Parts: sequence; C-alpha cells; structure tokens
Amino acid sequence: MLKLIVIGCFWTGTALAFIRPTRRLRQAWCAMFLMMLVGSGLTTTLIWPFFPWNLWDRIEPDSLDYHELWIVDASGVEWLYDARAVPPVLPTVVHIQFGKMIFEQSSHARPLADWLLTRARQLQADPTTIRPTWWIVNPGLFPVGPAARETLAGWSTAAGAGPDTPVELVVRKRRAFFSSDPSKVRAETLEERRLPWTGL
Amino acid sequence: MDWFVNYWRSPNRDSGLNLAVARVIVCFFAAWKMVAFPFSGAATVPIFVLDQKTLPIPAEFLSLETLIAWEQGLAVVSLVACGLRILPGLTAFVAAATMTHLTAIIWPLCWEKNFLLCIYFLLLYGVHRHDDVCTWHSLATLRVASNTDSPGNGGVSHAALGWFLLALAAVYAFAGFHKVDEGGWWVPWATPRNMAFMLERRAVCESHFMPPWADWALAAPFFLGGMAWATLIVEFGLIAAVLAGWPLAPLLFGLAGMHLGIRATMNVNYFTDMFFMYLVFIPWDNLLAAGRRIANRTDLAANEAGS
Repeated sequence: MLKLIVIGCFWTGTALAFIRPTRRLRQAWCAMFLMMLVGSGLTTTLIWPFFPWNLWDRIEPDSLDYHELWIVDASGVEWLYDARAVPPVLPTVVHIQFGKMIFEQSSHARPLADWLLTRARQLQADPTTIRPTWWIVNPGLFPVGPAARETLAGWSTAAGAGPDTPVELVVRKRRAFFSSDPSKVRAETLEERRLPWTGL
Repeated sequence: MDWFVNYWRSPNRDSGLNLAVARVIVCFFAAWKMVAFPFSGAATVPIFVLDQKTLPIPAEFLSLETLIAWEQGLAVVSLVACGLRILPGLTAFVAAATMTHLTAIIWPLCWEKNFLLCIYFLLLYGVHRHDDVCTWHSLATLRVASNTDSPGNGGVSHAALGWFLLALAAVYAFAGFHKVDEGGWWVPWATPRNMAFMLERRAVCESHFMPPWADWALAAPFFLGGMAWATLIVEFGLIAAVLAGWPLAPLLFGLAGMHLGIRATMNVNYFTDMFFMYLVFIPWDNLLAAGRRIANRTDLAANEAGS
C-alpha cells in the first residue's frame, strides 16, 4: 500500500511539473527524481519506474539447484522447452520460475503445464508463426567445456528440426556442480514430475 | 575535444542542437523497441503467473489483449510525436507513462528493464522541454565554433541531459555497488573463480548453451580476473567522472566493451540499448561545426583554384 502511495505521489508530482514547469517546480521535481532513483536502489524496492538494480545474486557455493522444462513428443523424444513458444517470456523464467511453480504449487501446476504444452503444440502445428528453432538436447550432457561444445555443434537449430506433436511436459529439479575446471562442471536430476497433455 | 559532453558539469551550449538530437535519438530508438517487443503475449499468460508478483495493474486488464496492443500503439505514436517535437509536454508524459505501465506488466515474465533509461529521458526532457529551442532556422544559422575544445558558455541549457547523465551514472554505480556488496565486500566478487562461476551458471542453468567466447574465457583465469576488476572500475568510475569533470570517453567506451563482453560470453544483449544512450552525449554541435569548417575550407580552395 505504501508503495502505491509513493508511486502515486511521484506521478502526480510529475504531472504537475509537466503542466507548470516553473524553475522552482523543475528543481523540486529533479530532486524528487534523484531521491526516488537512489532510494529505490538503496532500499531494493521496485517503485515503477525506479528499479533496485540488484543485478547479481550472491556468490553461490559450488552447487546450485534449478529447474528445467522438457517436452516429450509423440515419438518419445525429449526436447528442451523453447521459450519462443511463449513470447515475451524469458527462457530463464520459463525454466527456473515456471519449473519451480509446477513443482511447488500443486493447484497451479496442471493449468500451467497445459498452457505450456498447448503453446508448444501451436508452435509445432504452425511453425510459420514463430521460427521453429528447437534445440535438441541430450539430457545426459551439458554444453559446458570444450568436449561438450563439440557435442553441441551437432545439435541442430535449423528450420524443420523440431519435435513431433508434444504429448507430455517433464519438469526436472536439477543440481549443478561448478568447478574451476570447466570440464568438471556437471549436473544431475534430483527429482522429476511428468504431466501429460490433457487436451486443453 | 572530449568525445562526450559532461552536461552535469557544463549544462550550457551555444545552440540547442544537442538536446534536439538527443530527443530524436531516444524517441525513435524507443519507438522502434516498442514496436518490436511482443507485449501482447503477456495477455496469453495464465493470470496466476502474474499474480505471484506485486503488479500495479488490475488482473482484468490482462484478459483484454487488444488493450495492451492499443496501449503499445499509443506509446509508439507518442514517441514518434515527441521525436518530432509535436506537443512535447503531452507526448513525452504519455510515452513515459505508457512505457512504465507496459514494463510493469511484462516485468514478471522477462525482467525487461532496458526501457527504463528511455523513460527517465522522457521525464527529464518533458520537464525541461522549454530548453529545446532548436529549429531548422537556428540550425542553419548555427555559429561555427572557433575553438571546439572550449564549448561556449552560451545561453541554451541542457539541464535535462545533465540529469540524464547523472541518472545513467547512478544506475551503473548501483550495479557496481551490488556486485561489491553481494560478493561479501569487494574481493570475493572480483575473482576469476567468481567470473567463471557466473559464466558456468548462466550456461548450465539459464541459457543451456556455452558461447564459444565463454569457453575461451574459462580457460584464461587472468583474463577473467582482469575483466572483473575492469567492470568494477568502469561502473564506479562513471559517476566519479561525471561529478569530478573527468573525461567520459574512457568510461563510456569501457562500459560499451563490458556489454560486448557480456554479449559474447553470456549471450545477454544490453549493448544495443546502452549504445543509443551513449550517443546522446556526443557533442553533435561541435561535429556540425567541424563539418562546416571542412566544407568552407573546400569551398575556399575551390574558389582560389578557380581564380
């Protein structure tokens, strides 16, 4: 509520400064602008249009848990979910946030999974709407380190290289292990949840 | 001559050309970005995904996909009109308000914050719009500066650009501050190991792809350490340069290099957005004057050859 009041005050003040841009009002508005810019940063509060700018997470230990979304097509092949099926959602949001939601919020898991599968099927049915560039990913490997990159070179993003009709969504909770030696970076699946398409 | 103007230290210029050019650059860049961005896709997302966040909009709004498209269109029209200086007060306000609202809608979906600098410019420009006095006539009669190293202390205020430069520098200082703070104060962040961790985390957990440049950088820890320190230096250095009046060029080129590095090793493109913001601080009036001097000299040489 306090945040809404602050946002309201800022925009009201802005409207006043736009309507009557006298020297004194301009100076007062600029001081408010700077205060909001710095204040939202220091208090790490999102007060539109001011942003906390905390760009980086804390330095992590050597391992990190995260989520991944996969789809299984009618032929049984698994594909990493391509976020271009759900613009403007960022790939990171699709995998990490949506994956977490499906894992942790049982009431929302089914409708979210159905929506993701429906969008994937729409993309598969009419690839002209969005470029049909799907990454074919082998779940046993990660594209890290020189050896893995050679494997990546064989993965196709060419038009037409996409899944057959998606029939199931697989959400995997995974743990990545990092190392100063990139060739030793690896990840393993901790848990997985399978949600077949229910014909939304 | 510095490559960029520190408007915070010297807000006055001989003409209003630079503010007018800044207006055109930011408004048309923002309009292009608004046209290209798939805002209406937000209306197809299940509403509970957005309800997870504190979103300052009624949920019903998102069920009306066309409203988002209309708002997007209004923002684009306002930006183009502001770029052409048609009712600049009204159009700058409408563009800033609609861009802020649309950014708030898509924020939970894509963490897109690169509209914010355009919004800051529009707000600062709108409040100082009466300083935008450049006309085609004044442009034609613009005085050719005799000494480009010492821009005049003439009458046209560019306070809007001064505040915008301060806001840009503050944003970078925050980015640097959070790196230092969240790294456990300074040293733990700026280490090759931490840089490698960020590249690996990005590749494994987020993009599922290791760009070749990141692969190369991971094998060069000295390079990673150097980049870490260079990042902190340019992010903190810009605000110091703005306040102290040091040359901006090394810092702005450094920041552009930093964004190119992020693009190459983490596959995240901040460069395009920031590049257009840096263009705002180029001394366009000095460039025009230099062009005219060259043209005059060419004419003189041609006349002498003719006579």
